[in-house]
Amino acid sequence: MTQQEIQEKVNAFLTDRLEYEPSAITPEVELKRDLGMTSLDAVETSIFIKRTFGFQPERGAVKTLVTIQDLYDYIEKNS
Amino acid sequence: MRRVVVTGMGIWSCIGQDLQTVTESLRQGRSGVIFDPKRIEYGLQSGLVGNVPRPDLKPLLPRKFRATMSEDAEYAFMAVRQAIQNAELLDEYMLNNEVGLIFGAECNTERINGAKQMEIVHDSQLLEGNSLFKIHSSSATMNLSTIFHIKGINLCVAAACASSSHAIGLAQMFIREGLQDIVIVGGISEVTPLAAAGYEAIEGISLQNGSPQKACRPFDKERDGGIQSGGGAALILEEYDHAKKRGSNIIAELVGWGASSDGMENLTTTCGEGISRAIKRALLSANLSRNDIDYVCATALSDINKDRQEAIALSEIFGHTKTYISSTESMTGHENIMAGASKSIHTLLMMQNNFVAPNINLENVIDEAKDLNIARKTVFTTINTAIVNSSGMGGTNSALIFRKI
Repeated sequence: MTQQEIQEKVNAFLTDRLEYEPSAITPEVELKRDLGMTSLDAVETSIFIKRTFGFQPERGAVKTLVTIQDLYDYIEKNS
Repeated sequence: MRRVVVTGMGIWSCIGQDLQTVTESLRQGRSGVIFDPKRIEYGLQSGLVGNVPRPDLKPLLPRKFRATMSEDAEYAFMAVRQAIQNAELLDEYMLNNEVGLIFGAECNTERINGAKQMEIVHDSQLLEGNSLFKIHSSSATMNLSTIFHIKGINLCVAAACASSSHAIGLAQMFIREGLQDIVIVGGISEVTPLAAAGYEAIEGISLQNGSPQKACRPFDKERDGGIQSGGGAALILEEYDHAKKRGSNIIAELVGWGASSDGMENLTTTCGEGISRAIKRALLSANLSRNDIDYVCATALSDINKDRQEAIALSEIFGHTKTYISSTESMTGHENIMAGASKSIHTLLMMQNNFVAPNINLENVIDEAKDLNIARKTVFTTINTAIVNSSGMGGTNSALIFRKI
């Protein structure tokens, strides 16, 4: 999967499922500080990654990611 | 002794989603029951159900709150939100005081859905991330405590159809004992078809699919079972002096509560003797006699046996008296866990607006109820003191007494 495809799927998840403002979704935006990602949102993101990209993120891994770009890169590196 | 008063109410039900609409439905004897063909497709024999809309919480709550709420928690939120507004309890007060929350609630079908999902995927990491917070019996109080900044006692009471009535009684004890000044009380019931299946299996549901609004017939010879209904109902209970000091609008005083258990072997029904004991205990606790009671909101749900047993109990105490009796479930269908709280609100609305709501669809009264003064039509009269009667499977009974002040 290309990074562009990953970005499209991740962005759709962040806006449709987690209901973050579409205008706020840019690579440099911070998940916790700017979007207010909670620990339960991080758990949902792990489940989304497993269902969509076919690998199981390590326990707590999503919580350590800082920006949306980090999330794209993490998925690209592990899928 | 510390006195307990009602200073707020909120309701989300099939006969209205605000106090004014519910009052009009009660006054006009308007049924909230519909026939839903999807329930037949699902596998039920009865398509009858209380027409309870799912609330749209999106404009009211951020996703982080909504994502963890079960269906019944959503109903609870709508009812509590109204009740808090009705009682003019400000956010600032909730943040700085120990307000309690006691709700009647039982297992919800989210638990079954979660189990089904696990049976399919066999991987805990593929389960819905927020399901844990939906599957608990206390999903409603768990979620609401975070939304409304609850800092006092916080729990659910499970006692079948008497759950929320017991919740109200327990809250009264907490306030009387000086452990709380304000407790938000209430009850909830989901209306998903899965929740009705078990009742249908024991032949407890009406099959009069062709006449939805006539099908619920408490105390009538042609009744053939209850109709699933639900939603949420909430009341604010407050210590009298505290309410006066806060400048609250006092709706009525909760002067009595009586509880009992039948102690019989039959799980599916109740018995008149147990119901009667609960009512007598309530009268004793309020230091009142049967002559003081203007109205009884009955628990009768159109069940073949339960209605008969309640009629026996009520006849023993109120037979050949002028005390008006009606079951508002003739209009709402069976509100199950929520019933004690919603009937309390119905009764208080009648008290405020000087009428007795009709027991609709009563055409041929059962023999056991022939000595009761059942209101078949709306009666415009003053209600000063009223009993709200509840009883549930397993023989758990609860009677509350409210008095106008």
